[in-house]
Parts: sequence; structure tokens; C-alpha cells
Amino acid sequence: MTSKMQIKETVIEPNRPLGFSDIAEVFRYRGLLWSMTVRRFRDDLADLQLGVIWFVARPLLMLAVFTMWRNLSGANMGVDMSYPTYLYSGLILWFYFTEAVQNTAGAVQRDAGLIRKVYFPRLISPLTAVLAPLTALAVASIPLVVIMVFTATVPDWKILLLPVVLFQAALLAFGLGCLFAALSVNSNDWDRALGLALYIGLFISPVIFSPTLLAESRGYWVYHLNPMAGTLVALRSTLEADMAFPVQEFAYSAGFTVVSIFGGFFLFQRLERALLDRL
Amino acid sequence: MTKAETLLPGSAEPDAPGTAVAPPTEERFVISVENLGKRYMIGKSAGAPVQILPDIGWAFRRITPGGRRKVAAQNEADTLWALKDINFTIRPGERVGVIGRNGAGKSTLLKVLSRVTYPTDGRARVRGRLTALLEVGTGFSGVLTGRENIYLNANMHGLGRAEVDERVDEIIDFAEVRRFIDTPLRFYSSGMRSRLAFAVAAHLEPDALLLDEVLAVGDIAFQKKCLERMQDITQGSQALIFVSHSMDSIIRYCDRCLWIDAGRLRMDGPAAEVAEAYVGEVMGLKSQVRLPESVQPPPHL
Repeated sequence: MTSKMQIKETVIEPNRPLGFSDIAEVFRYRGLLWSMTVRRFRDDLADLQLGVIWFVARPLLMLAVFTMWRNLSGANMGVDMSYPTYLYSGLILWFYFTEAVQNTAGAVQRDAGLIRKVYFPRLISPLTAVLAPLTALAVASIPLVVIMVFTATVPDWKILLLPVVLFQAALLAFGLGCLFAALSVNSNDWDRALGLALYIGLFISPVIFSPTLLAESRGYWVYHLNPMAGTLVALRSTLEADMAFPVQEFAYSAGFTVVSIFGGFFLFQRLERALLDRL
Repeated sequence: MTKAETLLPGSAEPDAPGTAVAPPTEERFVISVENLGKRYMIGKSAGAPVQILPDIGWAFRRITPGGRRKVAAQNEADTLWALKDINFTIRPGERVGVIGRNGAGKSTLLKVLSRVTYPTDGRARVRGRLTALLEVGTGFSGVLTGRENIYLNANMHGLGRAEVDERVDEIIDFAEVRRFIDTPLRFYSSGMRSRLAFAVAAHLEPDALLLDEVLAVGDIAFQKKCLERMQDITQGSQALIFVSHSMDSIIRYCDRCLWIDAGRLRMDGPAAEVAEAYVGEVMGLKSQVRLPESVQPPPHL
């Protein structure tokens, strides 16, 4: 055995639970993760003459519409920072989240052709779904910088927490996406329900207004049961020096994310096995 | 799903005494298959919705005694063992053909060994990297360039970026597509596509290579080129498993052959002998095959 130290032995067995070795394997296949992410991104961009313009068109138009409504009506949004920065940053994160959850939910079905022909760590498929829309988010962040400059929004050290917030949003999208992938195998109702929830979520999450409107009422914590609420408020506090980081709210979001990741892993594994045998 | 585990309690301990008549010292092998079985659900159960989350009806049927009997009977009736009690060992440098009639379980065997699907029973051990070509050019994307597709396809078969970097020029030359390598794949002719796909496959350099008649595409010259290349790359210590219906190819390229019949290993021996026995039976020339090792497992197991 000593002479074969570097030869890896793979054991193929029934019902092997998903474990840390799978995470290690994903790392070994990181080249594939990159290639598949590029492929997915390029597939999405194929035949789009205007290309990346579409990544910024939606949030910018919605920014214009909502800002106009607010200015015409004089409505109180409870936002005590630059409203365009608040709104635009919320919109792009929410759209990223929407895209990532929906892509993840459809990832296994989408990659079924590959999964039936070649072995690779199956987690690559939903991970790709979460990573690919990050490009769109990055492109959509360029106008955000411009908006911040024009509205004189100055971040402080809290901006260092921005990657943490994004990471949490991506993991949450992954967990929820896997959950819905498992649920929607047998009925399309869940697909519709997910679409509706994400659409309504745009209006009830702290994207357009701030939960400080609810600060005095008991509804404040009920409102924060939405795991994206803490994430979105935390995002703004990383961009604006005067806004405190919502420690408790974000801790809840992070905890919810951990639970959803474990649930998602478990369901994803069952889904994969069930699908593989229906050939 | 845990049922499968309890069926073979010895599988958890590889070197448990008495599980197999294994040689005293760890034998050098690339693939070792032990009591491998794969069960599929057919008929009514197969059409049933995929059970991801248990529902109330599901729980009810399993808790009540009458329901349990029904479920068990239904499962029994709807079970198909695509593979059952398969045992063999493949050593470095061996070239092994797999033959059998349609539906005998050849493809299932390759799918289990390539980890595309899971076994229900038993286990298989693979030393080193195993590459299965159940299809050439898996994952090719029309929007990516030839070069990007090389990376994608090679990564998919387990090569890291650095490993692809080393081989990419060789692959491009082998495929004879250097002029078009940075053109999106959708502008390639089908010939260029399959040359590129094969070139990648030929440069994966695995420790064990599984082929499922992928070479049956293309013209004769192309097939010949592929097979010769396969022979070249398996000259060393690599092992080859080749599923084919062509006895000619089996005898020419393999030195050993497995005959799978109705999910069981019917015969394991020198390629010419097994192929002859198989042809003899299929042609109906011999109603009963009488060969020394036909039913017993080969001596080394």
C-alpha cells in the first residue's frame, strides 16, 4: 500500500450519505464549477445584442418609477439614508436572490442530460445556479457606485461586511432553491408558488421601504421572520456609515440560512437519487 | 433506502474475514466489484411520483399491517434486478470486453461503475481515476468556443484546469481544428465536433476507461482511428472496459471478456472463448453451453 499512497481509491456503495468528502470533491472539481458557471452565463447571454444592458435596465427603470412615486406622493419610506442608494441596492440584491433561487430550483432538471451521462459532484449543478447570476449582480453594481457618488453616500469600515452579506444571501438562495427543487418534482404548483412569493417578496421585503416604519410596533419581529429582511437591512448598513449594522436581525437571517442549507443538502440528495433511477 | 445496506452487512468492512475468498495480500487491481446489484422499480411503482418528502398516505400505508403487506407485495412484483451478484476484478493493463443481449445489464454495469447511478447492493472499488465515455462530447455548448468546450468537457471528466492546460495543444492538433479553436462550437461541422469530442476523450489518460459503443459513430476511418488510439493509450497500466455488440472488435481489442446474461455474470474468460460461447448460444447452434467455467465464478474470485 505504501507505494500507492497517491492513488485514490473510490468506493461505490449504495446509499452513501452526503458528507464532508463531497465538499472536498467539489473543491477538486473547481475547474468544472468555473467552466459550468461560464457556460451557464454565456447561455443566458446568447443572442442578446444588447447583452449586459439588460442586467441594469430592470433595476434602473424600477429605480426611476419608485423614486418618481415617492417624490410625487411625498410618501414616508422610513429611509434615513439616500433613497436612490437604498432602493437601487435593495433591488439588485433582491433580483440576484430571485434569479439564484429559481435557477437552483431548476438546476437538476436543467442539467439532467449531463447528470445521466457523466459523473461529477452533483452539488456543482445547484452551485453553478447560484454563482452564475453573481455576474449580473456585479454588472448592476456599477450604476450603484455612480448613484452613491452622486448622492454623497459614504460607507465606513462596515463595507468590509458586504461579502458576508452577499455570501449569506447566496447560501440562502441555495438552500431554498434545493427545497423548491425537491418540492416541485411532482407538481408545478410549487414552481408557481415560488414565483409568486418572490414577486410579492419584492414589495414586502425591505427593498422599497425601511422596516423602521414598524420599529415601535410588535409587528417588527414578525416582519423580520422573512429571512431576507435582515440581509437587506444589513446590506444598506454596509453602504452607509450612519446606519448601524442590524446585528440581531442579521443573526436570525444567518441562522435561518444554516438551517436551510442542511435541509437543502438533505433534500437535494434525495432528489438526485430519485431522479437518477428514472431513466 | 437503508434496506439495501442491511441486505449486505459485510459491505461496511472491506477486509472482514469470510466475505470473499480474497487472496491474502491486497491484490493490485483497478476495479474490484463485489456482489454488485442494481434494482430498478418497474410497472406501477415506476410511474408513481418521486417520493422526496413522505406524505400522509405514504406513512399510513407503512404503519398499518395490511398496508405494509400490500406495499411489500407490490414492491416485490415491481422489482427488476438489472444486475445481481456481480463479482470480478480488473487488473492494470487488462482490456476487458463486456457482451450480452440487449437489456442484459451491460449499460447498467457501466453506469454503476461510472457513478452515474448508485448500486442497490454490494460495492465496487476503483483505484485511480475512472473515465466513462457513455457519450462523446457530453456537455458541449454551442455558445462556447472550441477551446472553452475542451476545458468544460475535460473538467467534467475530472481533470483540473492545470491538467487541461498541459494537454490543450495536443488535443487541438489531434482534432485538426486549430484554425477554428476560438470560434463558437455552433459554427462547427458535425465532423469537426465529433473530432474535437473524441480528441478530448483520447487525452483524458484515466487509470480505467469505460467505453459504451461510443465509437459506433462516424465513418470507418474515424472508428479505426479511435480504436487505434484507444489501444495505444491502454498499452500501459491503464485498464479498458469495452461494451460492444461487435464480436470482431471484442476479439481484436480485448484479451478478456465478461458475458452478462439477465443481470448475472454468465461467463468470464479469454475474449475469444467467451465470444464463441456467446455467439453459439445466441445463434441457437448449441442449446446448452458446456464450458468448464461457464457458471462458476472465475478461479481468482
